[in-house]
Amino acid sequence: MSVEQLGAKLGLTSRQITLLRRFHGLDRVRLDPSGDLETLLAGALSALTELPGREHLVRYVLYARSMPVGVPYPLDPLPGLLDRFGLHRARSFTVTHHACAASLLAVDLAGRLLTADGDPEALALVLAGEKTFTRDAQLVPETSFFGEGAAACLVASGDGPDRVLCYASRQLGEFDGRLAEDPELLVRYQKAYPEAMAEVMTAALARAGLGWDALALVLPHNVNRVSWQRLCRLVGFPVERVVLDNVPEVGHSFAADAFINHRTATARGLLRSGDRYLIAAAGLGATFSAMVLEH
Amino acid sequence: MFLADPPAAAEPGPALGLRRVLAREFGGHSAAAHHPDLRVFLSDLVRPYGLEPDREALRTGRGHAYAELGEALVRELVGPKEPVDLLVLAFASPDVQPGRAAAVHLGEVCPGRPLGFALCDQGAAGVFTALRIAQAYARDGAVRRALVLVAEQAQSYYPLARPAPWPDGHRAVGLLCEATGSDPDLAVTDQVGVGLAQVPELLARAWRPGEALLLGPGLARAAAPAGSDPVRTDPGRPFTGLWSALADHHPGRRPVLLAEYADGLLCLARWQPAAETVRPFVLEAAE
Repeated sequence: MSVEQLGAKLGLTSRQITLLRRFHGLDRVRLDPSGDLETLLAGALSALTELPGREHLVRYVLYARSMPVGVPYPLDPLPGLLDRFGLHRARSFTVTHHACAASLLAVDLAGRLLTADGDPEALALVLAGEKTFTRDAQLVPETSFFGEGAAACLVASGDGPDRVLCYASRQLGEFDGRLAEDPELLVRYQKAYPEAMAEVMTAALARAGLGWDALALVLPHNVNRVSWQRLCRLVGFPVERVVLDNVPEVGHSFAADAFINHRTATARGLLRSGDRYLIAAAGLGATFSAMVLEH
Repeated sequence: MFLADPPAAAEPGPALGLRRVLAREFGGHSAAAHHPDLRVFLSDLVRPYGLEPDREALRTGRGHAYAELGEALVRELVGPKEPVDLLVLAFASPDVQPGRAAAVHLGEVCPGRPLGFALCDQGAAGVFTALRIAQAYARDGAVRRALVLVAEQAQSYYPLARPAPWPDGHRAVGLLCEATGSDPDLAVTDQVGVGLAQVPELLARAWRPGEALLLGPGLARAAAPAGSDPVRTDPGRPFTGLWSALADHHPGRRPVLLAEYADGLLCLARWQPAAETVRPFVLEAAE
């Protein structure tokens, strides 16, 4: 759906819509009004070419959910997905309250659980992607739209194509509230955002023993383009090395952005063996997270 | 800021022991249950599933918010000189603030400003998983003190699409864990793909004579090991009951085996109280 179509549907003014297109760099948002959550997540699982033949090794399925709730209790798409994809030896659960930063938390948790279990062959599956079922799941005021993309990621405790070097997360509970109903909170959040995001990214790099100059790439959230232009100026990193391809064409897919952008980076050949890169995510509420990895 | 290095496969760090348990029951209702946006949010949530929100329940404004239940426990359970590194809020049945990231708020009010997150969609097994996560972080040296909170509130705002456990009161339990030496006083395990018929044999294998045995509501009809004299917890407390029973029935220094079962997952936690363990306690504060 175009920014204009979606903006009109959500009752935005023409000025607000123009701002989202021209200033924030949005063009289209992916939505599937007739599909349900299980269908959305199954799409990602079906495309995970590394999974077939390894289903019996999956011990955990973690659903990284941005919205604290996505379906009415006790409905849950996970057991059905486990059955459908033959993940009979896995237990499943949802991690949330990190909003759109939940996928980085889920990757870290998965690695911890697998390492503690001590089975080097075992795997965990992290799923992300949500339905835009209510206004709070459709619009980030003055900033972006949410879209219905989904992604799946396999985590192992041993060697793999991407090795985690550090995970960092900073939470600012003073932004616990609804930006849509509190304009003053929105202004304060917008003001605090660049510094908080820069701080957590820089801290993650420092913990990994790296500086900004050692990074090949940043995999961002897909909220908008302008926030990354500002952040790059703030930390002195070239915006050309931030994978912003999906901002206009796919949109902000809740916690799935990290994996969607990883797919784009590898498909485009932007990551070479040994490259260090950083995934950044921000969640309303507010949680700011960064993960440094080596490809 | 929470900073974590990659998990350490070798040379695991200190184990996490259970130091204190607090169970509370709450009366009254949260002002959040009157928020006008709750009606909009819930209507949007249930509509795709052919359900309607209970307008009468919404009008009366009953129920509790997990951020508020959790905050009460944090304030009673964690001292100002006990900085917590990790806070996990486990829940299954819904909050009256369904769109709120309550765990972030709880991290804000908890000493140490821990990393907070929520774990759900695993029923009564969620607390066991939360404890395993806390132990895994402690093993890697990223966490020295962790707080696991489990909350349930009784007000439903829509009919359930299928039968499921539902609490008959508003309750929360806090489990405060601390890194100890290398010898853990809390061992948590689970087993997937377990049929209900297999449970008695697995329980008999797990239980050691002399241990107290606490069985969760998912094991209400399961045969207990001979001689175990189990405490069976109230099905009206489907998510907190087992853990408030730990606070209520804690038998001094006697080791305890806690067991729960749901959807083919058998969860076990063995607690061997250490000398420095503070005796758990339970407060019933309902109106």
